[in-house]
Amino acid sequence: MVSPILAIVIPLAIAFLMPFFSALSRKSVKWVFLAVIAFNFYAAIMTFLRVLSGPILVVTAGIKPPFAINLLIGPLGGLLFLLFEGVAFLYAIFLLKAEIKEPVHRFFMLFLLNVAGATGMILTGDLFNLFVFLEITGISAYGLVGFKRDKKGLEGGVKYLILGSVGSTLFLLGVALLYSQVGTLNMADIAGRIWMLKKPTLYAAFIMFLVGLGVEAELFPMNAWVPDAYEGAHDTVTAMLSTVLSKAGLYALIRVVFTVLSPQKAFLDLLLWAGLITLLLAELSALRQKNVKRMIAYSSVGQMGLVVFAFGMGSLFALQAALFQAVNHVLSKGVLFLSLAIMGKKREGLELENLRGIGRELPVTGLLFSIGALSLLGLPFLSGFWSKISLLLSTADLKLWVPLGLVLLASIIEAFYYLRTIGVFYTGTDFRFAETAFIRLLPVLVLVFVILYLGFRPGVLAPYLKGAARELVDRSGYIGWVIGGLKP
Amino acid sequence: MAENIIFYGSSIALAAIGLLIALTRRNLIKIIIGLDLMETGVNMFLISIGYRRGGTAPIFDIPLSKAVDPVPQALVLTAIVIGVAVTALALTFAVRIHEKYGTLDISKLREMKW
Amino acid sequence: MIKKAFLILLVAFTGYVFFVAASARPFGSPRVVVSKRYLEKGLNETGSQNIVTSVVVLYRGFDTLGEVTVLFLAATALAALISGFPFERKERTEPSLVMSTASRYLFPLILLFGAYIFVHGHLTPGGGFPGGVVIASGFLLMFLAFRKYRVSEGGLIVTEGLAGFFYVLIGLIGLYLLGSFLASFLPPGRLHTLLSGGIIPLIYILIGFKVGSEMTGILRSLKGEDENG
Repeated sequence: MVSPILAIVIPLAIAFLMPFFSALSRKSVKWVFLAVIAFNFYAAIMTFLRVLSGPILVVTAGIKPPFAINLLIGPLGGLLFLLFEGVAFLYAIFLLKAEIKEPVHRFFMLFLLNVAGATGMILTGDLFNLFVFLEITGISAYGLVGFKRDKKGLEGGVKYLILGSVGSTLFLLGVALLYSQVGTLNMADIAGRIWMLKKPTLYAAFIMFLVGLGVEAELFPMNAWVPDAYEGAHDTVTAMLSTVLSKAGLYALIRVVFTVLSPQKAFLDLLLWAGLITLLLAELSALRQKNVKRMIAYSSVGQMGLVVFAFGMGSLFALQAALFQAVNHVLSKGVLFLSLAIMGKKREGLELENLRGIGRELPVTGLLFSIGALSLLGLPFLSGFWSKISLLLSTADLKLWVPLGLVLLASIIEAFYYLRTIGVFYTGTDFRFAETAFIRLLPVLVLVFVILYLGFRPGVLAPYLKGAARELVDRSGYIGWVIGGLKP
Repeated sequence: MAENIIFYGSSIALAAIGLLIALTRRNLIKIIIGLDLMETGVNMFLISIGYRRGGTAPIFDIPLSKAVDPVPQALVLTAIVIGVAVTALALTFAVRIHEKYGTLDISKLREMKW
Repeated sequence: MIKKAFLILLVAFTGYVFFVAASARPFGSPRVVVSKRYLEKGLNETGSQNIVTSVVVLYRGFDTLGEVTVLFLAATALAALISGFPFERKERTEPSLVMSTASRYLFPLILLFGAYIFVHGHLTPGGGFPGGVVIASGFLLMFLAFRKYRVSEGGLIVTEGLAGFFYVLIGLIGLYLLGSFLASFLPPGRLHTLLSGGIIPLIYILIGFKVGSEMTGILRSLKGEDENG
């Protein structure tokens, strides 16, 4: 039995010791990194299996909540935990062969702490602890984005830093406001006392949380940093930002809205429209991009908007669809950014024109990229199809016709530019076959395999998604797990 | 009421001024100063919500009614350290950007458009 | 135009937040819910005379581990970003004799004072963070007073790495012995004496070393000393 808290503290301890490993052997660093992430993945699997029979409460300092910080892993936390560590593990394999600028050990330290921070964000049951992990994740991400120390990296990094710090400070102000009213910081305890708050206070806190966490969750207009940071960062870092970090921010946002501050109608409507506007603006911007990495960055923002929109609908079915869409987004964007990284090694720059004919030169990578993109578009019998169709169905179910039309419009735009990109990949007369090393293809292959598997058997995921959605809707259940003496 | 204005009002206003500076100025150093002001404002707010009239620091065997709330003080300790970390990193970015671009004006960072 | 709209929105929201904060809980009467237990039982439960310290190190100890990590992270990211920066070596005049002599005598006293602060963290105001910063300020003084003053990178790395590792290790011992991370596995000891507070003094000493070495490391990186990662 592995305590889930180890998945946070072991990476911290190893990151502190990383300079020693680097001094012993410069090569050992990435293997140590891989080993720690593998341990985290193992812990995630064990936790996921344990959560099936009931939520896990982990207390710290030997004192019961709400008096000390606790971790709570319910169905939602377990699912995301498994997803995050699994994806991070694949990235760690991918990084084995990657070219990284000196000082290499600092890159891996930052990456390790980034994974630990994202893990902490989804496991913690304390609002201020969430802020601390938000900062750990954020600061390591600023460092990683600027790591190349070239013009693009620095520009992306500094924009992310400015918006990210403004966001987290606003979040802290929201936490302070809540604390002044309820006198506690434990999420479940606050949720149980939220009736003490007058309406204006609740709204003020919500606005601060929405703006503060919207930076990480990539909501308009706090997402100005996204394209620059994504384009400037190292490829694997971009994949990490797009898959794990954005989902961690999203998790924090929905946890705060759904569990801590009861889901008021006004809050959900605001989420819904914020998501829709983000979706449309991002897809329209993506259409105009010439750089493929930047285009996928905008598409990533659009997908986040779509997921937030689905959460804003608030029905159980919509929540399931939103979670499924989030899972698919992680899988597809992982495939897209990693295969793009492989392509980038062959050509100078990632402008669309430079990548002409790359699908013939790298047939496997090109195919994997296409599958990832098509799943994102919702081609039947790929994983993305099922999430998109259930998302549209739940929109229709609630009779939200205008949003439904807008989502369809955005999907058409998205299909247009992705198909255009794939088309360019397969035109041209260049037939030199030069596939990359297998070890670099392996993570992408695994992700594509999951996409195909879920495409043929979407039912596999359904019970977990249902449990996770229920956790979000059932506030009193969550409060009971923490306060009502679930045995630690 | 006067106390409310002095403590809550000034700390929230300080945070708002910091936010305004951070989002509207163009000079990177001024932006960093704005971020710091914002953090200071939030920290002051945290300290003032924990204050109890006539209270003192929660150290020694003082009567319970005399102690201020210890939790906000602990939170501020954490927040200050985090603020220092962010500021140090931001200044490093500023140094590097000045080296690469020869300016600290972020509107001139036109390698990629906003 | 956008700027003006933003300004108006911001002013309105600021006023709103102020109104909300002031109307619900006027200044001077905090809602003491969780803290009530800390104030009532904290002294006997943790053995720490300073309740803020027991909140920082025990009740919210997991936050403090994160906080230490944030500082470590900033030092790491900063060193990574600054590496390879072409520092200009400007010729400076050597500081005066008064400056260098006074610094030489003050330096050990500053270190001692820093150590005093973090060792007495559970008894008096202060603790690992202020203590560590005081120690780093001693090194800053030496950097200013002597042009050729060097701090070895190895020493800093060993100090901060081991201090951080032992911090986690203490937490893990608590997990192993008492079943929860960072649980105080030492007895509270005799109240109001130096040897009280269970694991609090241990952790604060480690934090003191860690913060001191990290802040010194940040100063060292920004000063631009020998370049090797």
